[in-house]
Amino acid sequence: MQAYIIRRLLLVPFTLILISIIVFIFMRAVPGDAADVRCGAAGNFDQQCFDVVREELGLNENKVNQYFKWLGDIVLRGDFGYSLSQRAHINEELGKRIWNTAQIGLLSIAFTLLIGIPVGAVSAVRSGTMSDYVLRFLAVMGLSVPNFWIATLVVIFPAVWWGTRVAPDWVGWEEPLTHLQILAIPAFIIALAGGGTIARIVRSSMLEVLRSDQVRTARAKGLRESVVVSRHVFRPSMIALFTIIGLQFSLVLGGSVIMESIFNIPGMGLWVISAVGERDFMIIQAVVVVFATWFLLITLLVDVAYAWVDPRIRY
Amino acid sequence: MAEAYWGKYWRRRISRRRVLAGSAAVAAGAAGLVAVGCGDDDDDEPPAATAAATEAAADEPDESAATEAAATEAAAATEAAATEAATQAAAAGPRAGGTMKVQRAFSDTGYDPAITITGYQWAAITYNHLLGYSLIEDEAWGDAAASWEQPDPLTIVFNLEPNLRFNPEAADGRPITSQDIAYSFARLPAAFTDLASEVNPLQFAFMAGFDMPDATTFGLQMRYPWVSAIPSLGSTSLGIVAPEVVEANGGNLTQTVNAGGGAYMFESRGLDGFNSYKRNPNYAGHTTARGRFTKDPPYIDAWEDAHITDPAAAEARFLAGDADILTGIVGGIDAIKADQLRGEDGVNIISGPTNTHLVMALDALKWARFPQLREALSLAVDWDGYIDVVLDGNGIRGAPVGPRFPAVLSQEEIRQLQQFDPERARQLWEAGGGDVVFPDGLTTLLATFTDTRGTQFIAQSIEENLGVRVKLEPVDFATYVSSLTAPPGSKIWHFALVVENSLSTIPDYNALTHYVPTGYGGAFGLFTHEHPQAALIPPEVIDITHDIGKPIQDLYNAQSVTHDPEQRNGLLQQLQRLILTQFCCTFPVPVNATEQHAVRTRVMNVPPPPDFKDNGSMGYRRAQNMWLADA
Repeated sequence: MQAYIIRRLLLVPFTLILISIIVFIFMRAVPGDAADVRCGAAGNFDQQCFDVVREELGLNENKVNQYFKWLGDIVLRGDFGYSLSQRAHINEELGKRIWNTAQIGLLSIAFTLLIGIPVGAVSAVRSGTMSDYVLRFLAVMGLSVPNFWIATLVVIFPAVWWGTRVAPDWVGWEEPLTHLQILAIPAFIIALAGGGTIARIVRSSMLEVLRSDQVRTARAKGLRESVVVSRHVFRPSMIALFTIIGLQFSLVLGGSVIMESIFNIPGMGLWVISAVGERDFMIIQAVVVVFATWFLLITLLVDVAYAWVDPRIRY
Repeated sequence: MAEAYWGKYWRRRISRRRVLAGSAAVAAGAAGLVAVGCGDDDDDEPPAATAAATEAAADEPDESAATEAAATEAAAATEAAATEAATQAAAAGPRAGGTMKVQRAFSDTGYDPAITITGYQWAAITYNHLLGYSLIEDEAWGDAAASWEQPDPLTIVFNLEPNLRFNPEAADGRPITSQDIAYSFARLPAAFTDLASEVNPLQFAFMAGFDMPDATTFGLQMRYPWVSAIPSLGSTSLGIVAPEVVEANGGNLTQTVNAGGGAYMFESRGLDGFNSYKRNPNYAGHTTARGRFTKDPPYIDAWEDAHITDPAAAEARFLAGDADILTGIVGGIDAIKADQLRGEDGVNIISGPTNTHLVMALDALKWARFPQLREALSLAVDWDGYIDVVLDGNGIRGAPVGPRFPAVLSQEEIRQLQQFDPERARQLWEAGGGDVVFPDGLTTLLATFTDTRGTQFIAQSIEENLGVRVKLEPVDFATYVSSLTAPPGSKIWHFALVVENSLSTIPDYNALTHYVPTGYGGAFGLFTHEHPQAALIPPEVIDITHDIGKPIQDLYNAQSVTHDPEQRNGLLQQLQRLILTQFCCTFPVPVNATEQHAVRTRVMNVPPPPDFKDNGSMGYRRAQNMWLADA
């Protein structure tokens, strides 16, 4: 196991370098850069303006040099560079925003599990009943209804109907209850899709175990149904859950981009949306690298945990 | 002791059985809750207590109805009382105090008035400006200037307000002098060349030098007798900064606030531009009240300014009373939204003539050699149909000087010069060999922030009436800008819609810049050999467009130094006719006749359009006579 973890950890930097190359190339392949936006949008059709901005950002340099300079600054000094659109160094703001996005991410994972596991479990135990059909329908609804649509309705309808907002402006932990309210709503909406996925996985996994010999034996021994389900069905079924929890993190990160925009949460998602419009390569690259690192580490953690909870798995 | 306490948890081995059992227990508990919530066939019988309560409720329908009616009455009474209070307050006259709550779509992109114009609302309220200019009144009002005179066409002398001071955080709140104004204006060209300033050079290119005979007299020497100098000096970009603060920050204020002496100063800056402003205690107001500037400091105590990107979120904040104003990114809210909001409690819809200007730009290099094809393109679009379909009937024909300028051609004359004649359009297209010149059809940019309906309407008209395929290229903001301003020969588009929503302070800049080589016309490829950037373009390329651009540029230059209004209007009308008959390389497009904005009823004295928008020098953010009824 230790060797596996070390191997995986060694792969992380290589994967990140590959991702950084891809995002670097793609950002420069799309038309326009920060100089175009800065100088062109204001009507300053002035070559000097373009030259100044491109010089300031190092965009006049050879692309390969640009890449290695950017990567070198991150690796050697932890410096993600300078944002022209914000006219500020990225690091300070990045720190604040990572934490804001992380709060939504963690809460939405918690909601995902709290929705998905019970719904899947009840659906499995009551398989073929009305409860099962209703819960499966709800799970599919959660999966198929776009979360940005639900979020927009949640934002607009209370204001239209009752003249109030369910999600106030961002306040931070100085006002804990309001802050939790702000976090909980987008986190819950993100969790609806993940909850639906997990509910379906848990249901099918539990149904498989419910039909197994060990459960038949447990029932034959005269154990109460609650004991059979909680002791002999739940535990082995939970193993399947670990395989998809890691994937849920990618959903959460993607979802946070939209949710932060709709709920005005100053996180990485809102930041990257502005940066795309401004062609602020440095912010986009920084956010992609941070998201990728986050996702790689979570995936690693889940894989390790998977082997740990299921002794049959050996890496 | 504490270490031992926590240590026992850290040292404790966590087994996988424990984790699985824990997970299962949590899951089982939650499942139980869900099961109870869902219920099933066994739950059909209602508990006795619930049944009794239901029965009781059924027995007393009048009481619950009465309660509901009472609540409705109470709510109505509250609203009525609020409206009454607002009416009474309005009758009683202005009162000081309160916090104005506003929102904007753009984030902060720096805090230097000489550099940043994107989302620069802070510059309107935290800096003094020499003047303010109202489009409605067509008049300049002194802000930092108490009075001014123009002894000759190249000189303007300003007498400053006697009690001007910076805010306490800028230069220790010392008095503002004419030297500070000279320093602030002298920064503009340097910021443009060295700091990639967004401020359009037209606003400062006319400044040749400054005279400061004493601390309260400021003389401005002009390079040429620019007729729009006074409106330009009201521009929000021409804020007066404290030189000490600029120097202390390495020559720019991009990350420094409170470097001025405006009516307000930053109280806080949040992530993503959630800003709050408080009164500048050093702000003394004006020696006399004029226009929207008050004799005393402004009535409103503070501002909260939120950066809201999502339109639905912005509307929700407005409806919930967390924002006092709802407007659009370009122009106001649409007519349907205005109608919806008109009946809402606590909401006023203000409307007035728009100052928006929209053009259809042609890539000059592609079209300049083909006059028949250019004319065919113009004749192929049903511009009155555009008003009916795209603008829902609430539109006027666009003019090259914009809708508000006195020299604007009459609607009838524009109709005559910009006709819809599909038959002749097709003849000209065929005679000019349109299908040979453009064998792959035409391409236009489809950008959500311009007017997608308008672009689609024009594209469809051209396809139907010229029989040429028009490809719609969807683009985001950055791609749109870079495509529009791409060097001659590398533009991917044949025509594109371009909206103008800025600088309502300089009417002849506003619209006309889209047609002249030294303005956006150059960005669209219309160059002359005299263009400042001509050295960067191959001469043979400029040859193609020079003959079209030169007369436009000459007339533009002539009008900009003609002070006699009648003579200037004559030149401007001549220029408009030239633009509309050359069909190159920008066509004016119809715009809304009026624009609407939603404002909470508690806000009084809001300047109506076209002065409403904050990017104009006398937008609502600089209206110091605005006040809050519930303050």
